[in-house]
Amino acid sequence: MIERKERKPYWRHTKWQMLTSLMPFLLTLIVLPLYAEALNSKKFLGFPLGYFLACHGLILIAIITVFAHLNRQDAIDHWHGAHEDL
Amino acid sequence: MPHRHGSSLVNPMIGVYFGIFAAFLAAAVILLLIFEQLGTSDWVLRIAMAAIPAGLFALVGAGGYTARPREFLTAARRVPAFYNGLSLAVMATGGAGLVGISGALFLTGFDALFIGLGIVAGLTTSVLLIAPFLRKFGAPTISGFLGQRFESGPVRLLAATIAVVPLMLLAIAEIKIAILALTTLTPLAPAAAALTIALVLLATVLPGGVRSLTWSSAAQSLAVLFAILLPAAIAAVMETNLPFGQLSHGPLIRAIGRLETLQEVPVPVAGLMTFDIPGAGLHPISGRFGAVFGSVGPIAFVLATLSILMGVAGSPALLSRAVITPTVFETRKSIGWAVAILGILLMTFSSIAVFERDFLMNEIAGQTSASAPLALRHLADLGIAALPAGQGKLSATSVQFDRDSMLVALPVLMGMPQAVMSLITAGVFSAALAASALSLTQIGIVIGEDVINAPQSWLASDSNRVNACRIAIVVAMGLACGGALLAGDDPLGLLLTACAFSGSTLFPVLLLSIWWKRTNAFGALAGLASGFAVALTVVLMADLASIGLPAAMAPTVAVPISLLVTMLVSRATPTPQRQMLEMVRDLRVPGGETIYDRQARQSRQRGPRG
Repeated sequence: MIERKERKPYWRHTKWQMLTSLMPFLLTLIVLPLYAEALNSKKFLGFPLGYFLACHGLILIAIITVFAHLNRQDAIDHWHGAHEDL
Repeated sequence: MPHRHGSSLVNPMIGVYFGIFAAFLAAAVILLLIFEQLGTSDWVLRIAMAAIPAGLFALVGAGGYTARPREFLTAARRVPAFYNGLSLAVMATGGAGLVGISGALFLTGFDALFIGLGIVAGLTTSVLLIAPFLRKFGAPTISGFLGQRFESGPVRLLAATIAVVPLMLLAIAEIKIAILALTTLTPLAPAAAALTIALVLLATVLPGGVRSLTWSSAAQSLAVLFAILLPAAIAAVMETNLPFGQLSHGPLIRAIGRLETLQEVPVPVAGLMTFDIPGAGLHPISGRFGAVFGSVGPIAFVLATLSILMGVAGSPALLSRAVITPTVFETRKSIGWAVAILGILLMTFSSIAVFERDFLMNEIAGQTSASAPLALRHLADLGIAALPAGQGKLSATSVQFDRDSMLVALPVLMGMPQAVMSLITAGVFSAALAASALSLTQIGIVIGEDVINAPQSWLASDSNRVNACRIAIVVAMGLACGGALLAGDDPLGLLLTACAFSGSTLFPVLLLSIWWKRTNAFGALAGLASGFAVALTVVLMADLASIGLPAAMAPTVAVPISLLVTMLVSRATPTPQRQMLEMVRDLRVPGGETIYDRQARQSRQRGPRG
């Protein structure tokens, strides 16, 4: 069980963790498709690069974002004693 | 001994049960393929392909019978992360998404990617911003969470009313797709198909509510993966010599591009805010597959992606899955699984669209309607394609295709056995059943818990709570089936409109209720009302073509307004009481007792007058 004095630092860490996970993901999600046409002139694994990044790259980034967040947030939970005990 | 998250609560035999189910499903498909080769009637095979999975789902659902509210409302929070993620991935797209996304990708190419990207991004945003906190709170509905978070009956009632709108739109869209699939597989008329679907849905959700839904939807999701990934892998081997078409269809895009240039397929250039996604029905392909922003403009692409993101992150149906896992950690992990499984499905849809385009570009060059390839004539006979009249030469843009049938057209174009087409149709049917069952169960629980037995539903008797939800599910089922038969709307359009409503109304208030503890009941009421008013205005005006903003993009206007209104009204009204602030601090920490369970326990100890 988390100690009362740990709540503020825990929430500060959680907020930073959320921002560092969400902001790069959202930025990529917004910016990448806008440059797809220009990137399509290059090839990767036979795919037009813009198409590959929009179709495969963003999904891969989403998966990495979620599992990296899962790992880091779990570490933060344990560090501050905020994790679950059953 | 180190603790494994939630493992002690989970039935260790679940993997065995679903292994048996998957083996049975695979055996049934192989048997049907054998019977097809032995000359069994096509209709018999099709009916078997619909009846066997539907019977199995109903059996799994009925096996989940319970009369305990804790199990009926939250499956006793014993669902492992993988099974929840598997169901979540299929429910997030549903049957409408499966057929709509794959058809739109075939007809418009790159421009249709925004739908799938929006759903994936919505789940990702949900795990970062909302879902784990809802699990810590533990309320079975979004309206229940908001009502208890703000200790306000009006907030609970308004949120419940608003939540029913996207849930009902989703249910109608999915039942429409289920009817389409069932009338393809069987000789049933639409009304009889709707009645059959209602009976299957009742068998899968009524006995055990969320418990039945959870296990039947896990079975349905396995069937969907089997029905989509297996034909896609066969098509990939035929086209690229590799079974992983998701990663090997790249060179085909270049080959298609060369043929498109030779056959003078147009390269339309969309305006910044153009949003021209093909609706339901027959359409010609709109441009070259790899061409970017031909049907959807660049700004519209980004805004539509963000709108779907907010709609999925605030979806009352999908967020209800956050509270059924044993722990907060398992909730995060389950959404991770959902993102991964959904990602594979979306990449599969892209590869299927490319394989179909490749067939089209290679086979119709130089042909006329009379000499059209056999597969294309078969599609025309089935009503999936329309060939131009007369003896004119066929071209990529002169043949029209039914958007919602392009997924099931794959085996016909690739020359696979008829049973494979029935298998994909059965997969679409399963996805539509899973998603409609989720929406209808949620409507039932919202009405039962947040309207009929509100505010302290835990003080009602077990039978009253469960039966109120069951009656509401039956009524909602009747309305949704009637709506699906009468409404002429496009299922994908209904899915996007449902996202527009949930994103505009629930997403901003949920976000602030967790991340800004100063938010109070007045702010929440104002935020919900303003978001709903703006979304409704945009949807109605878009239908009347009075403004340039499509209905699907309503959250891009409604969310900033709702956030601003919630914050301004909360600032202008009294600060939340100490007890409420303490509750918000508690919900931000994963450890400790689930808040909903604690409040229910304390309330029961105090009694009705406490």
